[in-house]
Amino acid sequence: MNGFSRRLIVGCVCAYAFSVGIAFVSGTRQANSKAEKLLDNAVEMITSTISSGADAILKFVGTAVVRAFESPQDVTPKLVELYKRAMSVDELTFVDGEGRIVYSTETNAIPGSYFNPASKLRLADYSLLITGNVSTVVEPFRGSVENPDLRRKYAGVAFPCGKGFVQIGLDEKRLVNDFDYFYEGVASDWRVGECGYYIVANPATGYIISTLDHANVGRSLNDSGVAPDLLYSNSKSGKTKVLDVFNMPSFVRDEFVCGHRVLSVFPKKEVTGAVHVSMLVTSIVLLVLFVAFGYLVFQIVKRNQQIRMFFEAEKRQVEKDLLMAKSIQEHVLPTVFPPYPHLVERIDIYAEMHPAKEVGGDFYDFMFVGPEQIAFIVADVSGKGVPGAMFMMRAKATLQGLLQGGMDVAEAMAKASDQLCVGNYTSMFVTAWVGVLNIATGNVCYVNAGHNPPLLERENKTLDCLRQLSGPPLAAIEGVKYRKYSFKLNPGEGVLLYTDGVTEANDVSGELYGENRLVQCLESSAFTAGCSSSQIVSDVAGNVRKFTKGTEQADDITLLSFRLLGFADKGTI
Amino acid sequence: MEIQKIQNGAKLTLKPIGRVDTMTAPELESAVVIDGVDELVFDLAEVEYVSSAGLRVLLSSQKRMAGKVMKVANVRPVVKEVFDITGFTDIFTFA
Repeated sequence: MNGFSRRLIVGCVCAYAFSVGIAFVSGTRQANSKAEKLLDNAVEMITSTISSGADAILKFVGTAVVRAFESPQDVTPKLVELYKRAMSVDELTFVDGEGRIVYSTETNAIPGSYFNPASKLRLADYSLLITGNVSTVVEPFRGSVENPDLRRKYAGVAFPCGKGFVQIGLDEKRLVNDFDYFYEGVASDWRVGECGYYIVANPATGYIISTLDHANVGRSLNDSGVAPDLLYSNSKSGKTKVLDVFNMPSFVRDEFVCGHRVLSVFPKKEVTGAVHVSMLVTSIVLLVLFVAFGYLVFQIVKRNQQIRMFFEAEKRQVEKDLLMAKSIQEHVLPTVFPPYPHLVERIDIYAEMHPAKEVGGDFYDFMFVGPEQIAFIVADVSGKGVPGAMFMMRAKATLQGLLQGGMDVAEAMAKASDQLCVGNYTSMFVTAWVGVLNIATGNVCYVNAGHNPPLLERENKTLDCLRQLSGPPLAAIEGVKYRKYSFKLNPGEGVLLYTDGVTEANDVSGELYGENRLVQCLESSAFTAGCSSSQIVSDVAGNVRKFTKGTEQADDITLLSFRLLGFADKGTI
Repeated sequence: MEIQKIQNGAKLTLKPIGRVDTMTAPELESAVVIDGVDELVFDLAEVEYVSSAGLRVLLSSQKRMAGKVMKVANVRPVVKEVFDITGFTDIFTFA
């Protein structure tokens, strides 16, 4: 297994673990919030059930009293006290049709005074009893005026025909202690969620009044595992506690409702069970996804690697081919210097070609074309790289063949041009300078087919520029006649041939090397005592390299220098 | 490189701007249209340099326009020098 596969697997496993973790946390959170909502509803339901139970008790007592006495005027203290005990209520106040208190079990409610509950709103409710608009009024539990800790609930029931009403007061404690039978069934049928339940208990004694499991009714809250001193919360979310109730971890709301302690119990396993099932499904789905994803990435990367390897192999092959082409091209140019060891006293020849790419479109050549005649060629194909090199090979072979056949230089050039025009669909052309030196006389006949003007180093340390042009480049157009020019070379004089790769080499700022720099360089090189062709070529090449430092070589650079050292005798060649 | 093309009936004028060298010559070559063109003019007023690759494009265009008219116009002196040195002055028709 390679490093990438290992990293991929580790990455996928980490991402998988992270995703499962996120899913677990969010799933649990969601389940908890669901449990909270469920408990909110459960508390609301039990609260309303218990409250309506208390309402019913008060209405029942009130109705019984109204039936017993036909009018508030008929009450006697003795009878009222009797009823109060019998009905197990804490307060009875009788009010007549005028709103005046007739009798009250409370000593501070003075008979003859107007009935006056603490708030005006409540007074308005009670006055509806006198007008006959309603038959009962029920208040929620509230602290009594004298003793706020004593929570008491009031109800009013009207006597018929607007004769007044009776107000009944019931303490919370009494509701729980005396009416526990009333609440026995309140929680016996209700469930919280699927397997949750309520526990209704007497807060003073701690005994369970009602719950789902009848076996637990009458047992102490202590038996359930809930601490008796658990603080009452005032309902709403966020008050949920997690407790063991009857040995089962559960979410618990602990409320105080109408004097009762009410526990809404929701077993934790119902929540976590659902979370576990959904987590199992989620993790399996995620596992499949991540395995598929990892496999896909692995395949893509593998495919990419194969493609890259294929292209690298192709590239290597192309590079190899180019290197071979370079070698072939280099070996068609004469590279052994001095080329004519028996003439080292007579002629000094040196040349270099530096292609911009592996192979180039420039070439130089020299060859004997007669007993005392050496032809020198420098040429530049209008193209670089492989196309230029292919055309260069063709041009070189054509010129060589014609010149070595002994043809006159101007004729050879015209013929070469026509031959190269054949099948030249890409309109390539070759600028060429060809000169034939007679080493016995120093006479040079030359043709310049659109090439850069060579420089002639005279013995008197001046430079001439051979600006004569014979015609357009080879292969440019058919049927060209080239003009032939000539000059005489004396011993100690030489010629430098070059291509535009020299004069049009540019530096980092884009400035061209130019003819002037070439002339200056040649002057300092050629006219120094004892300088040779190889010295001249390497001086100029070095100077150009220095000038173009920091740039990429844009064009092929070719330099050829030949210097006549002495006239050759006919017999020595 | 930007090349302005002006078509006037059967006369097409191509006006390259900048340098016509190895990098930009192929662009100029692909701008040349022969079909339906009787006169092709290269307006070199905005050209500061023409390399051998540029000369090759002019030469190939001239060959493709065989029997029709091809002209090179508004050549700057510095570019004219290139035509002179390379002997192309005799091959092209200048306007």
